[in-house]
Amino acid sequence: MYKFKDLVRVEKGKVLLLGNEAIARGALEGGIGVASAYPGTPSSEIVGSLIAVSKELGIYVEWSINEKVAFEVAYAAAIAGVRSLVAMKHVGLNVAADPLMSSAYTGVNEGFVIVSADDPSMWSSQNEQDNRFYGMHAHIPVFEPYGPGEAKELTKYTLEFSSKIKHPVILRTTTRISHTRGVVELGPIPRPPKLKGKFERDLKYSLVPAVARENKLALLKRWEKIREEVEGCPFNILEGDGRHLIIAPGAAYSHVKEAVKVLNIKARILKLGSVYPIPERKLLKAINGVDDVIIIEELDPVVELQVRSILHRMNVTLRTGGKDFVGYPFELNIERVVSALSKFYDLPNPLVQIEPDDGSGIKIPTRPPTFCPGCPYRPLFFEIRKYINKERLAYIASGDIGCYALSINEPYRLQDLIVEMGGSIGMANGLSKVTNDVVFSFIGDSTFFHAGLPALANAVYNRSPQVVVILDNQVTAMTGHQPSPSTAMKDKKAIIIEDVVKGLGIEFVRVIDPFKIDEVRRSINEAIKYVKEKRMPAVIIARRKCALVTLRELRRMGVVLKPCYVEQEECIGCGTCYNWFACPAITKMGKNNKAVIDPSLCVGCGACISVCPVNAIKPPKGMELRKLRDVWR
Amino acid sequence: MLNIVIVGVGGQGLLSIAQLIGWASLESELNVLIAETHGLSQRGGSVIVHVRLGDVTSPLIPTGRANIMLALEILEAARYIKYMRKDSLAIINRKLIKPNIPGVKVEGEENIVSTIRSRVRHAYFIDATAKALKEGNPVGANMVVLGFLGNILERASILREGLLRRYAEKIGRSDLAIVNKRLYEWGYSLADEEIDSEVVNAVKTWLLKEIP
Repeated sequence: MYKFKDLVRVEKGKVLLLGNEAIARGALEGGIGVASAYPGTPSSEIVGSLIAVSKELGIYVEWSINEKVAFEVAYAAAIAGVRSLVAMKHVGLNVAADPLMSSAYTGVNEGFVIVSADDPSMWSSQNEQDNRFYGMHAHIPVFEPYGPGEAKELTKYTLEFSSKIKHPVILRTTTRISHTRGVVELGPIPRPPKLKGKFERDLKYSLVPAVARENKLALLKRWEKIREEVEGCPFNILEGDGRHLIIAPGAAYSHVKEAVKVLNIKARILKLGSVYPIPERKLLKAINGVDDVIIIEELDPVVELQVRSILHRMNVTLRTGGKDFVGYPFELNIERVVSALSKFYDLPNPLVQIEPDDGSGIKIPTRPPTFCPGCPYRPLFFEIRKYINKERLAYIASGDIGCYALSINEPYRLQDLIVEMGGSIGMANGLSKVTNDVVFSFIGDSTFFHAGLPALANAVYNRSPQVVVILDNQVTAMTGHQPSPSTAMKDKKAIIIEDVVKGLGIEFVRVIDPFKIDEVRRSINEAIKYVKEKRMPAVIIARRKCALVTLRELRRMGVVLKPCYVEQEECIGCGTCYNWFACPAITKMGKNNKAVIDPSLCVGCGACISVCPVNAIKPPKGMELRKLRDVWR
Repeated sequence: MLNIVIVGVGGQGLLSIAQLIGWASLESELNVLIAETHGLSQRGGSVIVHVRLGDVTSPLIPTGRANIMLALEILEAARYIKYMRKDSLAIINRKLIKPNIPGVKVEGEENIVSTIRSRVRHAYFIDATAKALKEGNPVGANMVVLGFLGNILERASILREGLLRRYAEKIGRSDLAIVNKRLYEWGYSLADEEIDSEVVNAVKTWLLKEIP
């Protein structure tokens, strides 16, 4: 039993690591001196792991304000000669696309690896964009591992590769690699890694047009070297024999390997670790003597386009399959690969379920994720929904990326749009100009600092009448409690959001405790009045710690809270608590629709107590409400 | 290969037991892959974790190809029953957590249980949450089902004896660790009574199969 940081002094042997931890380990073994990231599923554990060992190794690791800034931190380090890594989720690379494009033009002095953690099937994302295209777009080579063990080795390799060519490299991973735990073989970590560099002044770093034109030509020369270098990449492997060729880049290989066993096919498999550019000579060798070729890849036909283009250029006519058999959307699995291969080779599919799932006809309701018991957002959205219904308010709720996106669900329904990070205030800027509705924008503290600031500055300057609610739980909660500028740390002062918004020129600013639903109602009411009268933005900051953080702190202090309970005699079965407040710990189980609190789910926060119209919900036994308010905060 | 799905509601400690099984498997010289669920979908939502032991490369278990299910909630057990083979083994915490949807209609507990029984040859229902609440760890049901599985995997000589117990003891701070150990042992002893050699032998043969 070990944590990632316990392995810093271990130099060999097999351990069980999460794919993201494997990438972090590979970065350490590859000698990075700097790493940065903005958290985002499925990428967060990479830099989370590196931070845990940064002190011991002396490397510099930071949670940056957003992906663009994170990119610049690591990119600059590599320019100044210190090996670096930046990690982000796929959509984060959109935010960092500006410096990404430039980085190919300037090149770097030391290894610089950009980890893009893509999310096929959109387990935690707004889209499933295939970031291998960024490599094509930016002239940056893209590498992809097939599992956690290879992820470690490939990270190390890409750092070397980047260092050798003096060019940035994209390491693409996907949810099923990043969040799969697998066996990883450890190697030594260089001690000490190179931590300090030197910035060598050079005109090539100043991308004015005349310089950029020169750089483009140099970039294309480096690209020739890159194409040559991937021919020798040890992560491109041709295995097996037969008259069929299956090309399997990245994660696809992990499924193909088992699918050919299921179908009992004799085939060559060209496993690709370099997915852009692909090794041309290796491909030509692989197709020599085969009857057909199929490319099995997830999402878009990035490798297929390259293969078809090479075959066309070389005048090779071969039966070729790809997306027409595999399909575009969502992640791959063994079934999908077996299905594609059985169609391509015209074989029966042994995985087809002959008996459909009988299920005996019972209906299983969906179980959407929900706010945790104790979450400060629940009373906030409960009260706002109540206010809207009571006032019959014409409104639009512009939402954002974070746990509060869960208020899209019943009974709150307060996320009419969720577009991208910072999109709440940004979209409200437009909506408030073309509708007469009251426009709310809901944005978390971390998201506010990430991309809400410019949108709010715009709202002030261009006079956008919107009610901005900043949900300040003082941490980046959804991705696993990484610090945000609103998090006070031992060595870091929190940035006070009310100071920031006042500094931007917001006149209406209220800071409230969302557990106090009277305060919520009053501030919303006043803010709406202000916005209607002044036609200017108003800001409400709803501040209370994430429940999971509070729970952790209480546990550390040895405080065990008993569950709250419903006095059955007093409950009138109105359903306010289980239908409208909707804490998962409260269910309609009692007689006459009465509420019951499940002791295995209740955390004893007491947020529901003020919600009950007849005061039937009681604080944990042996604790007064006032005392509870002091303990749970 | 042995395909195990661990299902339940986010927050029930599914990832922890998956990791413990992973460590014990690696220490028993088995290859292991665990596909986890992270992020937003974890907050009180439906969660499935795929654990694969032996000669495997893909992290995901095809539907209809799981050998063992550990379920911490019965609706989730029913939801993911499509992953199970007919001859498979399911270890289920007999606990219903209603989805957090206003006015949600949920099938009666008996109906859910009998549906699961009709689809899986060896289904064992344990009142693990009730036991865990009594012992003082409201979310300790995971340790009970883990103990039950640990017993079977040890008798099938898949995991080395005592490994899982040693790991289970180390989860949580001191007093919680003692409770967890007790819960693990309770689950372990239940399997002593309920699991016969037919099941143990079946589990042994599953591991030897090369194709899911």
